[in-house]
Amino acid sequence: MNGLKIHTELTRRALVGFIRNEVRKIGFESVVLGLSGGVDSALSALLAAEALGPDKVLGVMMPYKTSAPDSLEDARAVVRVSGIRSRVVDITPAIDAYFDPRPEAGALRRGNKMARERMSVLYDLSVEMKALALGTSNKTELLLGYGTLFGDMASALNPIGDLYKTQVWQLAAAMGAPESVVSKKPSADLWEGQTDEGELGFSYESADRILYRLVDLRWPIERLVEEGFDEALVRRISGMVRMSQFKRKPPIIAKLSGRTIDRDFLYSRDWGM
Amino acid sequence: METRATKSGEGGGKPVRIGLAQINPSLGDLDRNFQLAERNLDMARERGLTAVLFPELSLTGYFLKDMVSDVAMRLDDLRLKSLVSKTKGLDAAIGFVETDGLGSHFISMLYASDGEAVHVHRKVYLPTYGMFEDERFFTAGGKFRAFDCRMGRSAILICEDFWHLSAAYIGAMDGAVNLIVASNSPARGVSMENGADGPESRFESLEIQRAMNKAAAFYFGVYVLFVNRVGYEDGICFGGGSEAVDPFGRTVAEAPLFEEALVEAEIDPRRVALARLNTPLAQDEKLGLTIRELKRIRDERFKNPY
Repeated sequence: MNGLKIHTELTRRALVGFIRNEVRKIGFESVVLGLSGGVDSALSALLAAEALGPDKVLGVMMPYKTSAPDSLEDARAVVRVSGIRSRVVDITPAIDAYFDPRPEAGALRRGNKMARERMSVLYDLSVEMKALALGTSNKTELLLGYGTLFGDMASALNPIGDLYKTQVWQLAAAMGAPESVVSKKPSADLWEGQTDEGELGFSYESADRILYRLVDLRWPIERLVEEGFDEALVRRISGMVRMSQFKRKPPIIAKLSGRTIDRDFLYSRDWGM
Repeated sequence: METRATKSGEGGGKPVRIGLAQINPSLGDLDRNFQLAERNLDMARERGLTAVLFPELSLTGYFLKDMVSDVAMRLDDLRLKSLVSKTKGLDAAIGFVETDGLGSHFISMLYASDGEAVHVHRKVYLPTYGMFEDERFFTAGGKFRAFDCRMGRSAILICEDFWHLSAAYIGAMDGAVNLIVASNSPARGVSMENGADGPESRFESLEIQRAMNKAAAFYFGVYVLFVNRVGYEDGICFGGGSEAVDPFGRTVAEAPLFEEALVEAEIDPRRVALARLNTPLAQDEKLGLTIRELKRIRDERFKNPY
């Protein structure tokens, strides 16, 4: 079954068109995005550069003092290959100012704060640059809920949100992302030695094969087990998808009136655009 | 005994050149879309085309949701009448939201000829599954009809209508030699599963559409004139890929993916005649038998017949 293998040229054209159309339609010309040195932001950067012109794309590198040094190197390599503009904003002072009086705070709190600080910087820069914040969350992490709500998940538009991680790798490689970026172990880089697959306990290849069947093909769990997938893993992944649905929806609102936002007040985001 | 089903005397016309207006309308912006329509009418006239065909909802855009009532027009709406009057010397099929003025809204195509409204089709099949929610906001039309125009006898189907082969069948049995398929088809499917490869690859949704266009053209010995829009709404890509397919099932004109275009195609009644001479499927169709069997099936198999 070849469902995860994408036609990279067709996908590229569709996503370049998406960025170009959705940015310009609402009167903007530029985007800003966080450049982590990872493959997701590399792909978003390459797509944006092609869609809008490299001078209309600002890649923002936002290291914390414990970020892996090669993250910054890899991000710079993406800047070189794509030709986009770039800036470094060190988030260490902002994060430490908050946590110095809270030494008991653990890695999860610190990691989430960093993700939200990066979002906050991007949105501020988006006003300075008269740009839109470009998202870099892929379909795998969005489905698993492996992202920070209002952190890395926040953006104005997200070109790669319907691509599984393994598809991001395919397209990034096809578009000339630096080899080191495509081949390295994905990491949120929120604490030392962190890797996605280490934290999740399974590989993206496994996850994508399972998610594609659960979500795109709508197979019941039993069918996956019949096909030979490990039942515990399938159930775990299925559970992660269900339990993270709250991250993919706007906050629930207590309904009182006959016309409530997002329930019976129904307009496209591109309302009148 | 069954006689050959097609009416005689419908053929023998001269070839005409028509345009498929693969446009990118702005969601909810009537002013802009009216201007876009007029520009395309002018272009068609400049090129000496007989007819220009627009996509579904060409005056409004697609994902209207609660905007439906804001952009709806009655058939006697002055803006619509003004646009129709601008079809002097031309035929045009225009997509809009029709209202009866009493709270019902339809996805409609208006066919205008030389400054007059000639025919209206209301979308019958309203997809309401997955990403689609037509039936949430619109009322279904109740008929399929062929009508005469300068392209020859034609029937209009809107998007999902054509995905029910029965609709094309009715149009063909009603004497249509052209099926106008006006669509807003979102591009879906970039996987390599369909075996597509290389730079000419299309979305899976478009490959399926093309297969259907070709099959209907061949089954009924008709031209299939498929006109789709382009552009993005809320991240959904309308991929274009409009095409004209002749009664032999061959693509004779094709629009690119993603881009606006006014694509010209020649409609030649002699090709309809030749295709049906070679393979008289339309003439040999046993309409009476089909109707009897469908009635039997309805009575025997469906407890609550429609």
